[in-house]
Amino acid sequence: MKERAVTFGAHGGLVGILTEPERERTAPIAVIVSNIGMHHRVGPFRLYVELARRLADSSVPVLRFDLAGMGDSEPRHESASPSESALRDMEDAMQLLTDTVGAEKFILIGLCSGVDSSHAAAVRDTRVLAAAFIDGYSYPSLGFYIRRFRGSLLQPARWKRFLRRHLGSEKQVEVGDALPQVFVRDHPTRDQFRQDVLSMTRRGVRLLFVFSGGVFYRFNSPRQFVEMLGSRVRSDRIEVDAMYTADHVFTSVAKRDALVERLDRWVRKVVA
Amino acid sequence: MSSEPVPRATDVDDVKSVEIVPRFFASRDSQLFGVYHAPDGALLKNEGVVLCYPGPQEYAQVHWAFQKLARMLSAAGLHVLRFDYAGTGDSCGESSDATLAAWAEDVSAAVAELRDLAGIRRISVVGMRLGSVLALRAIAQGLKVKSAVLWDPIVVGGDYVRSLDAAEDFRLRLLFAPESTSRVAGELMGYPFPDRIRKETESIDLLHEPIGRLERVMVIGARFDTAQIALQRRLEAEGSLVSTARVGDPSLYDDGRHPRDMILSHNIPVAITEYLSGRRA
Repeated sequence: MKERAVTFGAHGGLVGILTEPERERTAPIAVIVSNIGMHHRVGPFRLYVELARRLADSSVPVLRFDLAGMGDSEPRHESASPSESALRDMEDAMQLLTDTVGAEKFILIGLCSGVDSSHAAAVRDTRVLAAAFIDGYSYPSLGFYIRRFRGSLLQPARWKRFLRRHLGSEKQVEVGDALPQVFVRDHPTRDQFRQDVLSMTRRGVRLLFVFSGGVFYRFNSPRQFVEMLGSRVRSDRIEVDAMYTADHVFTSVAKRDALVERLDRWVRKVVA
Repeated sequence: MSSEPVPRATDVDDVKSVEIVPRFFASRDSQLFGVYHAPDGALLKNEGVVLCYPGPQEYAQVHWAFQKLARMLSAAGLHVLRFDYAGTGDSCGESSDATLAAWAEDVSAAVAELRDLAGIRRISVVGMRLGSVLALRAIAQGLKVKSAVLWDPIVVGGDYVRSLDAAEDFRLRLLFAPESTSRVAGELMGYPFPDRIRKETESIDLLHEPIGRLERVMVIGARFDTAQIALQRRLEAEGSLVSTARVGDPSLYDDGRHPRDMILSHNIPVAITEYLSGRRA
């Protein structure tokens, strides 16, 4: 495995790390991972560093980079909406990988807000072969509400926590107010998302959806995927996994290792 | 010792886009990742600054602030290199293999790299939190620098580890089942923290361990605890010209802040830039 720092894009302001296999590659395919929100391309707790090195060991080159205006990358000079800018960034990333490692097809991996750019590119760009979305879009279903209600009543830990908070032995804490709301994310509507998924699978794009316990409040069973989008989306090209003991950013080393292992297995299957 | 009021935003706040060069460079048997910020040619000073990040548990929270500081310094005419210690950020290596001794060597390697890269001799260092300890240890081992800025420095390792433990407990309290809410032995705030690293970190004692000879030192933070004040006195007693700046700005462990949230510093980078560019004593 070898790594090099790269700057690229029409404005030359995008910054990334290209991780390449030592061994000869089996297919002209590369993986692209973009940063999450204001955090840079390293990923939470170096998740993307570990993932890139693992995939390179599996003979797949990986570019992890900062979208324009995030991390170390310069903002674009021309005016563009955040979603348009992210799409151009993804196109620039694909071009770089074509120029440097000869990649013709791409696998996109996104977590949290990183899903936005990878989803948009996967829908529009026919060079995208597969996409993995970690804690990506979800929509409530009847099954979701039933499981949630039943689960809350049957969990002693939730009752204990409720009593601690409301009887005064634990101070209620408010977090998240310290950061200004610098990101405005446009989630697709459920109908739009259904159409996007259908158009991608018809095109042959493989999709992996992984949900952590950090989004259990909005996605509480792999069954929810079909519940929320309807049976028309069933496809052997779609895999849905739950890793509910992990938090949203996979803080635990063991949970991170498990996610990297899962993604590595899936990428190797796609490449094969 | 002088204590100065919160600075107002000045012309260092008006940061133009400057060239940055991401690159790998060698330290010991490893490759470190760094970002070189070229100086604004109109204000070129033939001096440089190496920025030393905090430890891995606090790294992501300050990346934005360090980038902002680097851009301000380069816009003020200084060559800047910010870099990741081995096993952190984009640098090679595994987090579990880290040692403070190796990271102090990485500070010296980064200074040498900036000297070679920019063709300059006079380099200052800015260390934040654990980065202050590493910079001072590198200086104690013979690294020559023009001046040092210690941003919210760790002084007593035991206090630092206790604050990380408290932040970890706080973070876990904010999780909900089915997320795992128990501490994992040998980990801290998302990174491996085996007993070896815990003991090495707890042994930090800047009030008693050797610190090198420094001409000029700035100690800066949003507030100072008693250990940080004692460190300022020690530095003065050892002959350094110490500038102390208590500057209103977000801190890592402000009340109610999630330990993972990044700090959007502004006033402290402004004050550091004024100090290192000679606009502030």
